[in-house]
Amino acid sequence: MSMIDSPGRADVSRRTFVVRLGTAALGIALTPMAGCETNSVAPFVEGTDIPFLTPLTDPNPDRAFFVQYGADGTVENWAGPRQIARDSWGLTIDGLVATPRTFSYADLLRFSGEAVRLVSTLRCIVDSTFVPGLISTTLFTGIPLRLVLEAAGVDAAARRIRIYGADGFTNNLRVLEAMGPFAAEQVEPLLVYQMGDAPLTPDHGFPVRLLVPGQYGYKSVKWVTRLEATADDSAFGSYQQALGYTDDGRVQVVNKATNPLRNAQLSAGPVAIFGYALSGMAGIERVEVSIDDAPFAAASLVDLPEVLSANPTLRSTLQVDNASRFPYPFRGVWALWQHPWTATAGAHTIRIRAIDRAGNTQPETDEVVEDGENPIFRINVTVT
Amino acid sequence: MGQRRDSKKPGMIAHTIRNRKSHTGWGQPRWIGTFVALALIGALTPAPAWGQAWPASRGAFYAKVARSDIRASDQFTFDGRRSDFIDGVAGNAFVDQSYHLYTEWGLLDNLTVVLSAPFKQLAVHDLAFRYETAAIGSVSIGLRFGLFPLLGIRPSAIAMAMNLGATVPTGYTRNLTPSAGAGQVDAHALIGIGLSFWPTAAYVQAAGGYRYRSSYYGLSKAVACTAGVDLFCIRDTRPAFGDEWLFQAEAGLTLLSGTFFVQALGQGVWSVETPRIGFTALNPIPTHQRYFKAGAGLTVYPFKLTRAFRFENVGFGVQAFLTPYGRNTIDSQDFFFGIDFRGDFLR
Repeated sequence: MSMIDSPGRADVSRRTFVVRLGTAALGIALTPMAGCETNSVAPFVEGTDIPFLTPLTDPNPDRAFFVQYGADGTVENWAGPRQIARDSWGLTIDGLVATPRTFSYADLLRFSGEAVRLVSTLRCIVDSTFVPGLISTTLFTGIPLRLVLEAAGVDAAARRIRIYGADGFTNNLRVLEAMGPFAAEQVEPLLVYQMGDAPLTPDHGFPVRLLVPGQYGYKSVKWVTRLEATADDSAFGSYQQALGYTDDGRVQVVNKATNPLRNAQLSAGPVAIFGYALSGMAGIERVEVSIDDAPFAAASLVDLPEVLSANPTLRSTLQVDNASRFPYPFRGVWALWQHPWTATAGAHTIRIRAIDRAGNTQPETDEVVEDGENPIFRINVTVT
Repeated sequence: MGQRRDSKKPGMIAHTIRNRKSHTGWGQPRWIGTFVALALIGALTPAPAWGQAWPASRGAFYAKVARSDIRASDQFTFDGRRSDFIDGVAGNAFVDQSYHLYTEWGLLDNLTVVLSAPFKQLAVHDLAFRYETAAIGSVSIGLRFGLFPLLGIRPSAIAMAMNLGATVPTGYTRNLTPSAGAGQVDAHALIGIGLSFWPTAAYVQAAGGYRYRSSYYGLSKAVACTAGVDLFCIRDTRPAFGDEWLFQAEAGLTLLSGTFFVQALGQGVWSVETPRIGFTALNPIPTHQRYFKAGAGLTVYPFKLTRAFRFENVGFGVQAFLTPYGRNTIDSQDFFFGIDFRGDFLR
């Protein structure tokens, strides 16, 4: 309307305008407008403020301690969470044992003098580039599994302990993994009744679950109700038999960057590359970062004093109280790391790898998901 | 409506009256422009309402800018059942908060040029990630011919028009997760027929037509994408989208001398091929879909009340749609918040 009323409108004839309109329309149609295009992919666990201890509850459930259970049909006879009253719960130990026994919750607490409070990271074996977030860290309190097995008298011929959950989930541990002897830095499996210094929630296996530190989450059977000693040395368990996952549940060395995001558009200048690393076979030795195929440079691990300062509840845990036996970073517990980078304009690829104290590191690529995915972590970013 | 008899008012009103002596010899009744403008208010809807019955008069200009808010937590399966949009994801796994520009201009009395362009802002999330893309989507360019003049039928309460157009990618990346559009050039043709109830300021119109999906991808691009490594993209498969039958119907009524305009709206898309290829969070554009949307709209022209005549043709509107029926498509709730304007331009 304003053009109609403007004195200069006669300068633009209808013919001229129509030609210009057609040209403009064609231009719009044919001119790539890629400069207007942005895209980002953000995992739910992101940023530079990842808490060392994962909250068990959070207004955003994606940021709380992850939960995995059945009832989706993936594994036959694997049901959803069980609601079990503490007084009706029992743990039966049978098979190749001298005295088959069933422990009540009260029976279990008779071992409480040897209860252990520790920090541990659980990583689901499904956790991967495409299904991240199935990894969390918290405090666990429980009784060494070894104690109840010794009380039942596991036969010397037994090779495996088959583990049964009330939800139908099954797994196994080698007798040596369950009863020792245990290597340096290794924390033995526990029958856990507290997470985060509070009773287990139903989702996490109330009243008692197993915890196998340093092994993938599927070894830590929830709502555990039966342990069967057997001479059969074959793999046994829902994930192994139904889904083909490895029977060796040790967590391979892995790292994830939570900042920056994949495919992020960044401004030139300082950028904090931040993330976590974990190995179930030894503590993390170092994390290294490479920008655009430059040589790998060491990132900084967040040290124990800083972790303790932010998480004082860690002070009276097994690992912190026994520093000579459990050097930091702890085996089976993630280590947070950071790496400053001055981003310059252009497209960049950030590569990150972790190395544990046993010398294990991440492969360039990892096509085999059955033993857990752990390729070198890559992030593509664009800096303007 | 009576205000239009005041030829001393600026802008469109005066031009509308002058237009009665149009050089085409078909001197359109003044209410034609009213119905053109009112019907266009439905033009920015989930499936663009390409089928209109009234062509604009020469020089008449209409523009609308709208913000969409389209959300979906569910989808329709191949057989029409509702299920989670993404298994296990609670809440709105699909969100489209885009900006849309729609313009049209009467090049001749019976030939209208139509252009629309969206700035798409899409977000989808699965169990692990939130994927976001912002980009200019496919622009739509079209022409509308008034059929009655071409057939020698004098204007009456009934109008009929042929709508021809094409949607054209603007160079965006078609295999991003999610993509700003289908990535291919499509063409459509719809015949619209309308009936006015003048002097009551109300109308109904309906349109039907066909959309040809060309499978020509030359105006969009693809990024190299390695399955199992890259998360921000999907493999560039250049899917063969099924052609579609398009339907739409609407009824409108103005109240209080044009201060309020209310609409009832319906839209349908019917793939000629049976829905059989699903879609995902990463690629939420179904190749074969069928759906029906029903909605309503309200547009307010507040300056008509204030007698600020310079702005009396500026309206503020909201439209809302539900999806009562669908197959292989998202079950969304769609809202559009817009500002529209009509006037004259190079008459």
